[in-house]
Amino acid sequence: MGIGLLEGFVHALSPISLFYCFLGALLGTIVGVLPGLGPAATMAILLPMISHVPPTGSIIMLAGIYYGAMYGGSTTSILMNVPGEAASAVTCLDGFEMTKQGRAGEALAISAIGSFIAGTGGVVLLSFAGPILADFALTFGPPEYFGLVLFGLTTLLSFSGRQILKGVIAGLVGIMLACVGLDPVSGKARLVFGISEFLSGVNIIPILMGLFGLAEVLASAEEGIASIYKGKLGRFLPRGEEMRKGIMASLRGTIAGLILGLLPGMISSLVTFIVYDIEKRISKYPERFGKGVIEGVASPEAANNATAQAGFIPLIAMGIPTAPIFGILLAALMMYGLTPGPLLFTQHGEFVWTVIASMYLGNMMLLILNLPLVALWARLCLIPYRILAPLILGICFVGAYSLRNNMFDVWTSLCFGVLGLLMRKRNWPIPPLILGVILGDMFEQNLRASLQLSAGSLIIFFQRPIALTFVVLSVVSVLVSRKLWAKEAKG
Amino acid sequence: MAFRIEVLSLLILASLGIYDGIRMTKVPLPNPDPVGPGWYLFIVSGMLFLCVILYLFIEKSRRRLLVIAEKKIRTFSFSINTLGWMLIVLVGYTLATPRIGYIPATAFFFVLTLHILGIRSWPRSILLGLVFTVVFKLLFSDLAGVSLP
Repeated sequence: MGIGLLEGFVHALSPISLFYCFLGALLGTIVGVLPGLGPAATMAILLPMISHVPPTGSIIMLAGIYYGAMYGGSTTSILMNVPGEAASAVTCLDGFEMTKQGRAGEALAISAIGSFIAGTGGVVLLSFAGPILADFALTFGPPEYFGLVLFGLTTLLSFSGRQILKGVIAGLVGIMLACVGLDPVSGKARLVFGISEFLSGVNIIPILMGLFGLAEVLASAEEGIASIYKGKLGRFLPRGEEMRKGIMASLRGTIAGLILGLLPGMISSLVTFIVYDIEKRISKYPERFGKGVIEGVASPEAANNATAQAGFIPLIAMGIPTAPIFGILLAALMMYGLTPGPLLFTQHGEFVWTVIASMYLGNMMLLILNLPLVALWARLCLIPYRILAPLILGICFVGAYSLRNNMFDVWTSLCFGVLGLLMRKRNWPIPPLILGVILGDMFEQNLRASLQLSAGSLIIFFQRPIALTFVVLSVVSVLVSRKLWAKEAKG
Repeated sequence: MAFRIEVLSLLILASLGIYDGIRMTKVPLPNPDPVGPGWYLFIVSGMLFLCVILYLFIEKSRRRLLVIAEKKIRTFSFSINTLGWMLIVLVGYTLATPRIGYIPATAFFFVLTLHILGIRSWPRSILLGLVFTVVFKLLFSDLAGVSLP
């Protein structure tokens, strides 16, 4: 394996491989920064065009687009409070607050550093323990997933701050919203009331753009804000204690993201919510979360990237795509007659190790590419708001429309923008609503699938060790939340 | 007043869920499903209904504090004109885009929002609005290949 990796580096360092790697990373960063064009769409568009490129170059480039987009995805969340994807929603909470305090540079830099740590951690894991870990991931069935989602849902207690009941209500509204459309199991229409647009359900991205981006612009317009930040910009790189805190949080986020990212069907947004909650719980100052702490950016960003990178493990080691984007990569591999799985390492060793080695290089390229841009991006917050606000609204409009090419998503975004404004004014916590929408589907599907397995008996969640562990963790999480509320009440 | 609207809206939402949940329990399913799409929705909506009732009682008992909080909100710097105009322009933009096309609607939208948000000179608003429209078209449609309405 060591020799394979060394040989992989030799091939990955060839000018043509480096070119494809750089091109993928650059395209990915652009795609990540621009809302509306996700990495999956970019890869799907590029797939037919790159069929004449050698398989190694092609896969290196496609992988680069994916993890490059993960790097770039946080930029609009931090600078404009506009999350381009569900996983970046958590980054808005502290990232945009840091921007308001003139610390956009620090937030962007720690996000890039955290992404680098997570990306590299993921490749190391892929190189040394990929197949073993992929086997473990397959032991997860519906009861285990249900336990995990239940644990994820308990985080809404800590996202509710002092408004626990409001948080629970918002979470339930979110779960109800996730029920709109065709029932995933039976295919029957639910909460549709004869409106055909409701059949395909509500998409999370327009909701996020509304609740964060649009609501922010409307609130700022009402308050007559001149610019996101006034005054001299702070450092562009965190230093000393801040850097240490950021790196430690990134490491914690990386570990959680790598473990959870291996699970098929795992959504990185759930992972980011869980790691943010953990970070808040173990912090000495939980009351400062949501007001611009560096750990609140570093940990979810690292977890997001680690989840993305970990998805390569089941794909390469077992041929299992854990997310739609890996389905495209799988299609690309099949296009070249390469069947992922344990035999890929033995039959096409050179190819696999070159791709893995290029991921090390790609992560380094992304760090080199992103850090110098920090100073440039950070200056965006100094632009007068009367000029920036229309641009943010325009971006939200394009981002919402381009997801499914329909105006219904734009209306959804607009309605949730107004709802977000009203929620802010009436002191309703927004993250629990988002958490409910994101996890509602997964929660229902796994609950129902588990109960189908056990013929309706809840005992199934207590018979399987992993599921039981998550159920116990959920109870502990609720109990521990009481401590957190007391601390927040003091803060 | 705002509190009453808030509670009423949530109760209507929960009632809709309960109604649709009950309706769906009667829909025949292809496979045996102990919870089914109906009971699941019924339970979630029922929990929402109960939580809203609980919220109503708790907030009612804090009525005095609530009055103070609402007073605070009223004293908050408030410029309904800007917000109101912004909302009108946003709704107008969303309605106009499929009818007159992305480029003219976006140009109007940018010019109007720039003006509402503080660029009082019309020639400047128009110039900036047109520049933004062209940049959006070039960046999203021509360069990134994003489909626009």
